[in-house]
Amino acid sequence: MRRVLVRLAFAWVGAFGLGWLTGGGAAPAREQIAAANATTPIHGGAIAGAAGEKLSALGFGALPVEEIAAPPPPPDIAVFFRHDLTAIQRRPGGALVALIVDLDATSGRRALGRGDVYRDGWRVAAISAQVVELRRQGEVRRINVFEAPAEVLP
Amino acid sequence: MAQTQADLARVDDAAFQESLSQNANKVWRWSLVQASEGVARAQAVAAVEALALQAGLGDASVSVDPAPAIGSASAEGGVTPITLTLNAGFEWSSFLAFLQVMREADISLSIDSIEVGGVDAPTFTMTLRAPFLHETAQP
Repeated sequence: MRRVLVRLAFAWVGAFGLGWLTGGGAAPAREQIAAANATTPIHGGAIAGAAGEKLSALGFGALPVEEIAAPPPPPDIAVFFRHDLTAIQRRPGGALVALIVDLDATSGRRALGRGDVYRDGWRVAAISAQVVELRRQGEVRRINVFEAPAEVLP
Repeated sequence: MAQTQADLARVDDAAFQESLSQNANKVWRWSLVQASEGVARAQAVAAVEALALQAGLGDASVSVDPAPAIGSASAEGGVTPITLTLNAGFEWSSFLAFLQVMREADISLSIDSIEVGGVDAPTFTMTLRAPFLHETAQP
């Protein structure tokens, strides 16, 4: 039993001594590698590439956003109304109605009186022998039906 | 001097030798290795032209500095820079693409200067340096 304990003691002392002798070299080795890395050559393109990435991040080189063309203005309802109007008729009761072309109607014609909807939400607000007034959500369009269109004026 | 002494002190260290070997390998791979400086210059021009083409640079032209490389160019095994000048039309997309292909290039190209000029048709002039490793002539 004593012999075994003596052997264990020698083994422990020997292992400790070996570790003491070999462990001291680790730190200097790391320093040497660090020192060697400090002089590691750098690829010149790495610097250029990094600069390019920074420029890209700043927005340089980004494709210009295509300008979206503004939508055309909505067509003037007066143009349509003039185009569709065929006559203004006085009914027996004295009320005036505007007769317009309506290809969806069975006769191809439609009579519009006050309060009737023409198209696109435009409603007839007033009719006189010369002027038809259309309204839509606060918009008002007065159409002089016998005035020559702007495109034919000299 | 102190660095040299420190290097000499650990020259027998295996880790240092391995690191040194890796660094030397990098220099070897990233340099124009030729026995003739003239051939290396022609090789550098061709390499930069290929990169410009790859990046899509317009009207690119490459010239090499006629002056001999500074330093110990005549010393076999020495590394010296070859100075090149690239002229091309400037456009951001292709310019940035050129910087990216420089990163992926076989040879290490360092930018010395960049000059952008022209208003209607902007152009740029870039001065580059490529390492030239003077290979020891084989007998």
